Amino acid sequence: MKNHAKKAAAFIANEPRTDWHDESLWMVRKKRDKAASQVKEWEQLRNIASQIKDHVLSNLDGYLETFEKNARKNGVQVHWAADADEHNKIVYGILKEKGIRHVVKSKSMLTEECHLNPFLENNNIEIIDTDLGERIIQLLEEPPSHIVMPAIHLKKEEISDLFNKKLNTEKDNYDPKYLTEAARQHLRDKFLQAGAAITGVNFAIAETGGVVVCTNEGNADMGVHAAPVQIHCMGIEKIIPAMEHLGVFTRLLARSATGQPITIYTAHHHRPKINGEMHIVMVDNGRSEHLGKPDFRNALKCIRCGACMNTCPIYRRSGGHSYNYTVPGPIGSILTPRVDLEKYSDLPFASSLCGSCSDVCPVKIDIHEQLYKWRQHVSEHHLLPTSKKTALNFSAKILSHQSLYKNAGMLAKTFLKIAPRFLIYHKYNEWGKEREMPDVPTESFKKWYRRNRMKNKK
Amino acid sequence: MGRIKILENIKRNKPAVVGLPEIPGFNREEKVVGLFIKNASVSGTRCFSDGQSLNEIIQRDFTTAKNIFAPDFPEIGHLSVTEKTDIGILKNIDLAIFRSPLGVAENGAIWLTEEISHHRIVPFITQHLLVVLSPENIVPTMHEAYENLPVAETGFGVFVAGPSKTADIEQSLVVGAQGARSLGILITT
Repeated sequence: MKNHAKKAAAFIANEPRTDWHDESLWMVRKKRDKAASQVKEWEQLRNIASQIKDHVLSNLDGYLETFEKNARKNGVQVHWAADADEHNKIVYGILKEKGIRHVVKSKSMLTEECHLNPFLENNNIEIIDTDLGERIIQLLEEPPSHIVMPAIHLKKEEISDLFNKKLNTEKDNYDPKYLTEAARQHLRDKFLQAGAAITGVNFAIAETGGVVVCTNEGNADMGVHAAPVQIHCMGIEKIIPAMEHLGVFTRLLARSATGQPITIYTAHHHRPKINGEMHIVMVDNGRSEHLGKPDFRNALKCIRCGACMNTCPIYRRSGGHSYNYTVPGPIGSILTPRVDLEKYSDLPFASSLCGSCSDVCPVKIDIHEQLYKWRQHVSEHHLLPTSKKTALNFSAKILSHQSLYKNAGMLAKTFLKIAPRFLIYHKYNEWGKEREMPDVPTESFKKWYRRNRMKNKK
Repeated sequence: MGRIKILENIKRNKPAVVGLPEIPGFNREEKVVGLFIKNASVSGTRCFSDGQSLNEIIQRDFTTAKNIFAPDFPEIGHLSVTEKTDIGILKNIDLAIFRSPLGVAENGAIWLTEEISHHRIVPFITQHLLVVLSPENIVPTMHEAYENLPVAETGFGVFVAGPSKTADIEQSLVVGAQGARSLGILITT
């Protein structure tokens, strides 16, 4: 398995494309800033949202039971899944019982996390992703590279080629309008054929037993209202206490995600349609264990807006696929070590710790602090790569001895000045890759301080 | 099986009880109609607020619309739809016209329910959506919207804040993804 740094290196090998990716996401970040600045009480809303989520996590079992009770009263069938496998089996069980062979699905990072698509396909069920970006990557047989904009890494020429092959569109027609229209026609047929529709869930309201699903395309609603069976899959952390709290979260979500004041469609599902069935599958898959880690439980407050990705200097220049997980970027890097510490031990290091992610997070998750804590965790579990471990041990020794530190500084300065390039730029010097080492200062900070500040004190 | 395990795990692992915060009353914008029109327009919604009639709008902008569903305006729409109408028929709706009970100034969203649209899919499957909204029913923000709407009393309700759109191909905004290609709002008493 390639680690993040290696995959990122492959990504940035194409410089113009990296710049394009970087700029596309930064544009979204700027839209978010503009939208946020237009709401006077923005910071207050973030605080309240964060506190609501804290409250929910502190009584998650109670709210889940209340939600279940109220949803059942509404005629909804509620299922509990301890892990991904159980989730997939529950969904398959519902489909099998009804003899359903065609399913449409709107965007759901949870079903990606559970690998529902391959599971259903192996059981001879056709599953069609209906969000345009998701349909594109499904046809390409790739995972999403962003949780809100799954195909942000692709150029329109690539999408045009793909649609030409799969949907018989005109060759070399790169017009996004033309391509979107082709997908619209293709997907309308799929909506009408489907026996069941699966969606993710943005918010589940304990007090009323209903779920809220937000989209811009209207694909979730086209699926859910056309098919006799609707299945909403949610992580257990998606609960909010009451209707009034939706006021807070619907104001934050789209502004943080894309800079829109609200998603085009904010759909509230409380009861099944006439002659229809409505199922809600509540999935744990490690979340209740995560809740037991005081340093890291805040990550469960995430509302999946993607703002932390759009702002992250590492994500923007390494692409979502370099993270090797459904949820990439800063939030992905603090969720994945809980999933598999060894496999994802490099992700907490895929950050400059600049803290921009925490600054834009609508529920104020301390993302960069958690990244730092996960690094310590990784180190304590002896999962640091040898190069990093050696360098850190070496630094620790020098930094803890005054005389060593003094001499090392002098030595390094002299060395960088006189040594030939091959002794400085080699495979063991990670800081010399793709960039020049900084100019050597003429004097050390200590000397400078003595000359300037000590003198002034006198 | 999963249920007991999940609840037990949560009970063991959850933090000490944290109180639920109050949502304060924020300072509200008073010129809600102007703000509504401004924000709706940014989302690609066309607002009609200068005394035009529904008939004028339809005769000017929807000359090619053959199948019109307008349950609140029997003189305009001739289609009849119930919750049991076949999707194969509903997919041919060119224009659906509804009265909305509430609009939100901060984002230009309007509220529709399954009772208003007769079948849940109509606001999405119709090619074009036209909504009549009274200026007195525009509230400043989502907070007032949720205070005023009996959301849980309807089996399905939705805020619609513009035409269906996507930016999934190179961030180019395209209107008319999977839902209605346009949203028009007639603001009139």
